[in-house]
Amino acid sequence: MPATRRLLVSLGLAAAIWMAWQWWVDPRRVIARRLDQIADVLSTPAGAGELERFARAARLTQYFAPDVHISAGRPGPSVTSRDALVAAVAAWKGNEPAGGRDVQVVDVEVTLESASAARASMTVRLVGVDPRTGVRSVDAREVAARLADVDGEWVITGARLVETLERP
Amino acid sequence: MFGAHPRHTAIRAAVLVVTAGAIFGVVLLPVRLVGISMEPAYRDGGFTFANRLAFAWRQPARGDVVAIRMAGLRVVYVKRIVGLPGERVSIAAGIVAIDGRPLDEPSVRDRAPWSMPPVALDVDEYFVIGDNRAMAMEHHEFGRVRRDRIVGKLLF
Repeated sequence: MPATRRLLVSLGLAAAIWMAWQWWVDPRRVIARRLDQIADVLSTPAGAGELERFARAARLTQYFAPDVHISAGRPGPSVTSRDALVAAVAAWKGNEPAGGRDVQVVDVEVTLESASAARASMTVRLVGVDPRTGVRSVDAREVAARLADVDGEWVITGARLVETLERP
Repeated sequence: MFGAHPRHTAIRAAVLVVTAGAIFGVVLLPVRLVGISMEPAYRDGGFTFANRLAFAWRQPARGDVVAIRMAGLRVVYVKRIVGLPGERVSIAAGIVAIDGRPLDEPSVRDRAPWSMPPVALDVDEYFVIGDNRAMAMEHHEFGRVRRDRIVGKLLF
């Protein structure tokens, strides 16, 4: 293989490896994956038992700071600790329809403020199906979150619902 | 399979792909409608496009049905503009008033007795609302929106 072609192939391979490495370790990608994982924890498959629902709620502790502050907007409630958040989610899951609920995080935009702090905006979609009627319900909310790198893991330190349409 | 002139076929295919990508990636935003807030004009499960260049040469106008982005473009609100920047919007007995004058809304069929005190719009704000006023007001998403959130006008 001519030297020039070898050089081009080597450069191309190095670029591909660098891009793959960036994709995997880029903090913005890591945070986006963490948000996807949270959505997966908040989702509940159809027919899930009460034990599974509460177990899923308990898994949230790894994604939130102990003093996390969650605001549901005006005049909605606020949660000011991780324990309170897990309890609230467990109660929410206890009232879920038997058809389950799918939580999706889309349009995620992450901004790094420093090596250990970040902001993220996203749209959270909740899709549920009534197993008796098959009627699909969809709701969506815009969320702004703050994250911090704690011991190598990105956790949410605060989040609030954003009023896309500002009601009077 | 590729015709008598495969190179021409390949060029035509490439042009088609690039054009489709430009149109559907830049100009037209596909919108699948979910919910009943825009009935009867737009029904749950319907499909349309938002023209992202509709406001390149003019500002949004009263009566325009627009797509409003949330965090991005994968989920958007579809609402009708009833109030323009600088105006005061109020609702009494289900009737929208602009600067105290009742607004004629031919797209609204039935009205529940909604009530909302006057809201003053800023220089870059619009007031948007759905056409389905028969539903309970607390279940209807509506309100002020900044101009930079309006991404396009529905084509049909």
